[in-house]
Amino acid sequence: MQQIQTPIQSLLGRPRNYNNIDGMGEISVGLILLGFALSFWMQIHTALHSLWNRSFASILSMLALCLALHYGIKGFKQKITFPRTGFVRYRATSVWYVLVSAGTTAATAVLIIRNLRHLLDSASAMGFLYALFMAVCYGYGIARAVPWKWLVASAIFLSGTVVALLPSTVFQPLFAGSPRAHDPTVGLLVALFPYFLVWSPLLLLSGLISLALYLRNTTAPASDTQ
Amino acid sequence: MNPQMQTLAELDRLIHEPGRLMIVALLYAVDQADFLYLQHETGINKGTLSSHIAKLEDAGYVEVLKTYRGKIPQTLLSLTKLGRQCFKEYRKKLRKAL
Repeated sequence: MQQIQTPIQSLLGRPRNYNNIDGMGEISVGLILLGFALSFWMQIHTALHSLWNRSFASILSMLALCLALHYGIKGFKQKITFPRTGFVRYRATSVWYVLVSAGTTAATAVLIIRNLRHLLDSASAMGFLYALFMAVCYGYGIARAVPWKWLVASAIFLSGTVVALLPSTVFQPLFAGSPRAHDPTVGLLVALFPYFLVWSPLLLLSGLISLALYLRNTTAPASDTQ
Repeated sequence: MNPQMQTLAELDRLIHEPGRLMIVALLYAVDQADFLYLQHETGINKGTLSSHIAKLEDAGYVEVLKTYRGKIPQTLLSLTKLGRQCFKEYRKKLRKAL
């Protein structure tokens, strides 16, 4: 049964993998992480009453980044990807599916954190779990389709683990002189900042390599073949 | 006849052919795709792919829409309700048979 069902399963998964054939999926995630990191940086390093410390400003800046990425990638696909390797329109995901998936994921995360609380008291343990989660998501979503991306998944996990294990004093110079360095309300941002700073270049680099390989290995066929 | 053999014999032969199975499986996972995408993913040449698509279209499994992307002709394909139903049924029978 496996012998026939596995190729069918693999074919059913191919359109999903096609979304990142040009590396745009990774580039967009890398840019979003970089955007988050820059937004945190601005919040931490600007005065308490500056525009960057208003909640609407960070929401608006992230919204602008997401819109720019959405339309930028759409334009790229229409001009470069679809003429080279074909057009695909994905099936719309139902709102219920998204809600149920998000609810299940959140409930599982809460259960894990509640049950392993005694192990997760330290920032290192939380950081390790976060690195593992990111690497698993990347492996499942991207590396399954492209074997060399397992190196990137491993790099995500290892770099995240290194960040988690390093003492917090290593990152203190990044926030030196900041008026909010010891503000407990930005504690989570300060904790996440090094991870985003490490992972965004990794994802951008991996995405750019995929893009370069894609552009090198594909050409648009003559117009009558489409 | 052995029930397993009977289920095998009942498999939809139009879908069971490897080339068409690839086309139907790829279209099952998307809302719409163009000819170029199917050619790229299946590795089947243009003539054979056209012939498979024509057979699937005649059976009412695939809907073909000829359009333009700018000035370039584009053939968009999607699986019909019947096509989806038959592919689901085919997978169910295949699981049962093997």
